[in-house]
Amino acid sequence: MTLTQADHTDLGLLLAFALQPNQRPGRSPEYRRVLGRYRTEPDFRLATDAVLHGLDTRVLSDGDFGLVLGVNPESPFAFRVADLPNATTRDGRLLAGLVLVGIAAYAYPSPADLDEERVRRVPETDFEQWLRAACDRLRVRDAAGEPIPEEGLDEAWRAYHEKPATRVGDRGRGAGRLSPKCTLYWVRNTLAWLAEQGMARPESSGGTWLLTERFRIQVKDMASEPAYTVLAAIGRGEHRERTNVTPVPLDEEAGA
Amino acid sequence: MSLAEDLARLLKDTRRDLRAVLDEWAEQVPERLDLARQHIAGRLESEHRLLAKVRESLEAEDQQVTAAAARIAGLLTECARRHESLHAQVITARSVFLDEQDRQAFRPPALGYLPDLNGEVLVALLRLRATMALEVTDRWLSDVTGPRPPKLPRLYRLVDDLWSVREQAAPDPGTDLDELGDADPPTIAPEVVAAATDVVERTGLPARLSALLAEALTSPDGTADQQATAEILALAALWCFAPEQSDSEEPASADLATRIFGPRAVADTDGVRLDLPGWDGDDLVVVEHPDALQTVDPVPVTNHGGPVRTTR
Repeated sequence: MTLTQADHTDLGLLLAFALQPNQRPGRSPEYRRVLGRYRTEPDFRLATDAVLHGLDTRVLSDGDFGLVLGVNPESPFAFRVADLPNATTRDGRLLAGLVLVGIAAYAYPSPADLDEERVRRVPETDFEQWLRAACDRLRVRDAAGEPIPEEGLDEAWRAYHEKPATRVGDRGRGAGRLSPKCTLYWVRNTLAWLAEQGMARPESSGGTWLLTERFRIQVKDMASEPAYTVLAAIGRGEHRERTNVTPVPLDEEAGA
Repeated sequence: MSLAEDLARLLKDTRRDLRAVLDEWAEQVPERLDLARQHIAGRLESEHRLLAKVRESLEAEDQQVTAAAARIAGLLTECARRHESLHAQVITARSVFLDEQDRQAFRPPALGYLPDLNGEVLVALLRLRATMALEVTDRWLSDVTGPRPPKLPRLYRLVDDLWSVREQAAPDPGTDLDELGDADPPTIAPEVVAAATDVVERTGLPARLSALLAEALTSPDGTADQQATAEILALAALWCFAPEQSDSEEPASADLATRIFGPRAVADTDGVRLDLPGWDGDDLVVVEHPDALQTVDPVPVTNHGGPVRTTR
């Protein structure tokens, strides 16, 4: 393999584009050119893959929407849950996560949908109601079909179900805006965050979002492996809860 | 022969899917290859010795002995040839492993089973207890997101950036610090402000309002009124939360908040309620810097290890 300095510069350029999820080959001739090299030149491709391997990252797709990267948790590029905007509480994080999985399930209702390249539309309020109905079906009901109230249980769906769909803040900075105490806030927040990552686009009419090919690729990768194995292990009763680690103060760590 | 067959199987499996025989390579294979090398070396040596002896017999007068010796020599040469080819396989086995490791490292992952996202993932997830569900949802939040490049600071740029922030703040009318210092409302005793600043120093930012209030109310030094200190802290936090409500007489509050929490401090709410007797409202999160808001999640002092309840 004899790559020249210019080849390595192109390789770096390709990685720079790939690391910015909102860059599109359609908008940048340079991106198109280096992506084309990745697709057609085996040496260039091998070298790029090897560099990414060193960064604990791999290519999930090299389609027309750009180089989509899958990032291992150990990678310096890995997203941390703490980076999620506005999700500073445990409740907020849980809601954002449930909404995210919900959006994936709403957009790709069957395994075959995960394989089909097509833009999916997610109307905010429809989706909010859909997820609410899914939670509602999990309530324990009596013979007459009336839900039996159970206190003190802490299943995930309750976090969503117990919040109203909409609620508008009435004071301070949040006045007149959706409050984090309602579910539509989290639907909107999560979709806006996906848009920031190049995985969704707001439709111009408002209230509806389009999920991009990048989202489908990421969800498919997630669904085919980690999402399912963890749940399957929990189902078999093999999975143990994560032990909480108390953070070590810096000076103590240095002394150890 | 069994050694040769065993080796052939191992190499075949290695070429097909390295991961299937990875454990074997890690644990038993190096030892087995060593043993095979020793075994072959022993065989080859004795075969060569025997061959030398047999060749001596080829010189014999007796026709029968020469014929037998020729036959034995042929057999021994065949044995040696087989052992040599096996030897070649044994000594290249390791490089086969290394080559396959390189080749297979970048192979796209085999397409796994695609679950029914709604029935098998979402419903299962909603049924889980919240702590378990958080593990799965956190995985989703972090893994579904593509790369997030870390921001690397460059010192000289940082210095520039710090200067430019000051320039932006300077032309803002009405925030001249010297003037504001004089406009302190007389109702707030200086020692109360000092005590509040101490509380912030002791607690450290980011902090929840509940943590600051608790620190102020249980403060050991008796120089300032504890209740007044707590009230000043709450007022300053509130101002950080909603600074746009300021009107003509408010710059004093701005100055107060600046002196207690620092020039760029902001506060925000995440819906957690204050759970201190005698206090009501949201348990604000106070941070030194607006950017810090996205990443912090200080624990309220009143959260006794249980899940955060946002409804009452």
